[in-house]
Amino acid sequence: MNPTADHRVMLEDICAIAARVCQAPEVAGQPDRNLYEDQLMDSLAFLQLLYTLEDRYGVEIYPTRLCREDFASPRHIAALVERLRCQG
Amino acid sequence: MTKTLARFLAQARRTPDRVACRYGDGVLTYRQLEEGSAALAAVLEEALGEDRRPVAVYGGRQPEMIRAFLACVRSGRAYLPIDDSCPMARLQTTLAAADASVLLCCQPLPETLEGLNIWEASRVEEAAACGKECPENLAVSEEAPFYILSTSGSSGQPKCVAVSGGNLDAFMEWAGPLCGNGVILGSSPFSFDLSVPGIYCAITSGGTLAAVSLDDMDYRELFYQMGQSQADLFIATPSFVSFCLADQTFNQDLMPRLERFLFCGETLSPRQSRALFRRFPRAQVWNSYGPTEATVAVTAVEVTRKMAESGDPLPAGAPMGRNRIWISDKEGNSKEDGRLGEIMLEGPQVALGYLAGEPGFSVLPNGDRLYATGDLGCLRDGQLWYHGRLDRQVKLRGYRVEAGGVAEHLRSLRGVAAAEVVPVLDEEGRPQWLAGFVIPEEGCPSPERLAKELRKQLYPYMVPRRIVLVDAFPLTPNGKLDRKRLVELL
Repeated sequence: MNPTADHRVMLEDICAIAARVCQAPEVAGQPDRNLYEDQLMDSLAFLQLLYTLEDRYGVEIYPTRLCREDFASPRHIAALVERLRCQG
Repeated sequence: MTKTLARFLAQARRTPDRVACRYGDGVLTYRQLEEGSAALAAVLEEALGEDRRPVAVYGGRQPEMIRAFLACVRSGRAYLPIDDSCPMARLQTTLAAADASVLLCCQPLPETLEGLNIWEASRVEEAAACGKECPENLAVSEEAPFYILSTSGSSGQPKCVAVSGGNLDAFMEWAGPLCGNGVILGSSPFSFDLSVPGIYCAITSGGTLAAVSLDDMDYRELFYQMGQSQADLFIATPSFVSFCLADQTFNQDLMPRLERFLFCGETLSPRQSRALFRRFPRAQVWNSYGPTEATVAVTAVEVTRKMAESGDPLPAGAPMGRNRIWISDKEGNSKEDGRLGEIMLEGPQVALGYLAGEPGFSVLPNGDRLYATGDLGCLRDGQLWYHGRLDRQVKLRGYRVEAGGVAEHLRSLRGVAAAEVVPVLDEEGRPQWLAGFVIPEEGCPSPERLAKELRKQLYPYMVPRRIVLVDAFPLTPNGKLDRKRLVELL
């Protein structure tokens, strides 16, 4: 598959996940939205995001091995998931 | 002077250089806590004179908060803790409801407030460092309010509970020995009374309170602090621990000395306790129950592996200390063992009452106070079981439905780790239908199957119209279930 297209699909998908867990539909079209602004991402949203990413992409996420910035926007999250997938 | 305060002062003389409380890099030793609170108390007394109204204290979990609490009670005034997660509008209504004279800030307020007597953090710090001494006879007595906590009233306005020095002493009689004299990890904001055992058990025993938080979802910082803490005891709500359990490194290697968990504020599930036994093979798990109106907790029980593995709801525990518990029917008569009714609490831990005189408290002929909790429960073989709130009863199409009871049925189904049921309201605020929220575990069937199972056990009108599988329940800043936001998950 074309890696650029693959990346785009994933970014869209992660935007949609972020919009759902943060209960903020507009985030679906905002890959660079800072999720820590406006208290979009609270502890519940974070936990939901974690479990959704683990299910969907088969990655194992240890929140303690990551930093806040890794979850700052859908684009950051997509980069994180790609990194974790490469690590296998 | 109350026993709790006297014990702290004696302890400060014995171990002045030991750390009394810590949050992140912020540390106060026993000496700093004692001398600083005496100085601040003296300055408060000079400034306020005859004004004995409560003093509000604003901040997060920094040790300076505890120094300010002690200063208030040493000057003869109750303290009202306000957590920094409190919105400013709510802060103002809370101060008005408690009739607070001053707001002591341990950190800057996010915005300027008019019409309040505010002591900025720099002024508080200066007062605490002035070296003045405070006469011991000023301190809050056993009969007077020691702290005031605001809870959310059914009207939406804050409801202020006044807890006396004697109430706290009575709680400490049994909580002190249970909490030991080591390092206590406390995860609750100081505006929530689950923080009370951590603070007072630590500073009256020579122990240390290590306060932690999951603010900003900073797992790294939280786990770093837990790892550094050398904690012997962990006091938390079950919800807080479910966030910790999301990371596999939350285990005995992280806290090798941990020998006990103490839970309060919510019902601990058997599944959570099983997870804790797996992750912390050397730790005990204690469950407890109690409303703010009866000073933190009135029951406690050690959850055994057998209890956890049976899958049955866990007991809330047996009455501790001098607490008496009975189950009331609607007429106020005591119900026999095993029967469900309202949980009634009597004894020296029952608080002075609500500041605005809202109902719930009464005085018995022997002078003790009685509190009608509005909680549903039963006593069986000396143990209390909690069965939800009495006042979440709803009427649907003329039928009376206990949302809590429906949730119990959901919880009993295979594959359901935890469940909540809430009424969905129409524009006029009338309950229209019930929504069920389920945290699934292995083998959980589809929501359709769950509803089908429920129809086997309940009248059709009792079955939630919609059941949603969720990863976690939303929490209030105090770590309790946030029902309002649960409905928003639909």
